Amino acid sequence: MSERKLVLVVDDDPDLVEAVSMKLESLAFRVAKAYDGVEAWDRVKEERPDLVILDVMMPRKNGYELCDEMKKDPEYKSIPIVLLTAVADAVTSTSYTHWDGKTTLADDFISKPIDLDKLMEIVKENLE
Amino acid sequence: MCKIRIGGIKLSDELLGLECVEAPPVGTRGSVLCRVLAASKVNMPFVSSTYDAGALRVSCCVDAEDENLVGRCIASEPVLAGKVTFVRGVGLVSLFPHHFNMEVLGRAFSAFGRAGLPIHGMASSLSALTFVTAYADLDRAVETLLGTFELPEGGCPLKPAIKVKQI
Repeated sequence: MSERKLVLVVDDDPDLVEAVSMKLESLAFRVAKAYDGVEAWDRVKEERPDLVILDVMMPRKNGYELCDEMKKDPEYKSIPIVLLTAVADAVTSTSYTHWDGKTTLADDFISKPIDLDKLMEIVKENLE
Repeated sequence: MCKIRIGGIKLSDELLGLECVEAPPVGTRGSVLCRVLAASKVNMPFVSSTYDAGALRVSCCVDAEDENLVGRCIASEPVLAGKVTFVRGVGLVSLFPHHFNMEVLGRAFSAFGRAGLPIHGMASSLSALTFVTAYADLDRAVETLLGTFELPEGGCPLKPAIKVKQI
């Protein structure tokens, strides 16, 4: 029996973290949680997840910064990162857009509001 | 008494509270309020409704900067005009996750009570317990809650870093 994969879910919306975690657990994944980029970096180092689901807009350290740091670190760059991005057309007064997402080295992204089934497909694809 | 470990505390920006009470027979006032705010793309970081003794009370919070827009929306709907009370200078404090543990709720209420902090509203969600209190008291609310709840090592209350508006 293969080892259950560990997915780190990072978002400053605790309800989104809980909803995604419940869905992952129902599919037999193990889940770690973090609520900002600084805490997420700590979790990555402590638990070395198999994949990270990473929100972009967060306090303390945003998702792009964390993604950039992970992908530049030889020890962690192989961990797939799925970015949760806001829909650029609906967001103003912020520097976060899909374009920024494309300039990062994230492995995949999904737009909010997220379709949980689609997110699970993305997770599985990136863990293959 | 041991502190309860939680995942975090989240704070809001300054908000405007809206209170809409409809005495029996209840019609559509609450839903009209939500509809006009949604139609004007006004974000609502908090909304709750209470049905008590035949009366419906809808409470919600919007960005304080949206007060003029919200005022125009309400004035444009005859069913709402003069029926919505503004509560200025409120903020949200959310504890998470609650793990469906009633002790988290009880000790949070107790902490607010001991500190004499106002509670304008409260709601639970899948993960969080959210209290509406005075924006000016948010730091004191955090200080009080940290006397009862313990954050993860290195954790600190999350304050909004950006503001998202719909266009």
